[in-house]
Amino acid sequence: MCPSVAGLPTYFVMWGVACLVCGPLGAWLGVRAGFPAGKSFVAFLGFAGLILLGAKLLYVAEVLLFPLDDYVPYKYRGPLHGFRIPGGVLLLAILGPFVSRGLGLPWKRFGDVVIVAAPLALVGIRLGCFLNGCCFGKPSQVPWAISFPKGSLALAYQLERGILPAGSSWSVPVHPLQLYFVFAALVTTVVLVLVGRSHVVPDGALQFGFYALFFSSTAALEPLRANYVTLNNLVVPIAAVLSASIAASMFFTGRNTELPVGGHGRLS
Amino acid sequence: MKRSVVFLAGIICATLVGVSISVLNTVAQVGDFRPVRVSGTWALGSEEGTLS
Repeated sequence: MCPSVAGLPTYFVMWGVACLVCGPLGAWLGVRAGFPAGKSFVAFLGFAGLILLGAKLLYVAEVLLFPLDDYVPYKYRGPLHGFRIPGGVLLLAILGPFVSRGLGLPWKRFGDVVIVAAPLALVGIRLGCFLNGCCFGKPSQVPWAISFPKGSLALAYQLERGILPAGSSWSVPVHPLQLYFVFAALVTTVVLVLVGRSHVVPDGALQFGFYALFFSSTAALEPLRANYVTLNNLVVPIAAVLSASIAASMFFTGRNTELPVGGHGRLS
Repeated sequence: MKRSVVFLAGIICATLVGVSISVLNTVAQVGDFRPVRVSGTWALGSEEGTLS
């Protein structure tokens, strides 16, 4: 059970909201910085597609390599089941520059200008996780721990493992891990806005700074997840180290070039 | 310039902290590993399965 809007699971409704808000925002940021409107919008569609595709690919890899990591039984898995957000961000980091270059956009400068929309999109997506009831945390006694109702994944997970007696209608309070992810994305957004406005980081460093912050915050929060997702815990720390290394190398070897004529720079 | 140094230092610190927590969690997970037999629908939808 999860809330739905017009028959659509709220998980995907929130993906849609994230796209509807952040797509135009990213395109607007691109235009504001002096990049062509059409290319900026197409690039952003490409970025959104990469996040969706990467999230699905990581889940498919997980099912193939670590089939026991997904606690949801096969019979409850619909065709839309299974996304791992770090896979989406990883694919964006790897292929995003090629999308930009394919459209004739300078990937470092363009990426730095629009990257602030990515953590904002993650806020919407993770709120979708919360409404869907997936990605819940371990049982906890912190004052802000949350119980999930009958029909939720958290309750079914705890009943199956004997954490609760049969017939219970509310789960044991758990860490609202989805909201921790939202908080991390919000903090990352603020950091990117503040640093982006100052125009002091070399080209490309802002976007790889985002990747480093995303993967490191995810690595720090994953241990709070109720179930251990092996592939997440293998991929995320490695991606954090790689993206932080690339960002650092850009600081020492990169340069801060001028934006196109008439551009207003990063979010300022 | 100062802001860029703070940003870089923040990235490196966040990465060190995040990766350290993740590695410690993985080590603890490996230490706790013990296959158990479980029954019911939550083991891959089958009657029996092996979960860690």
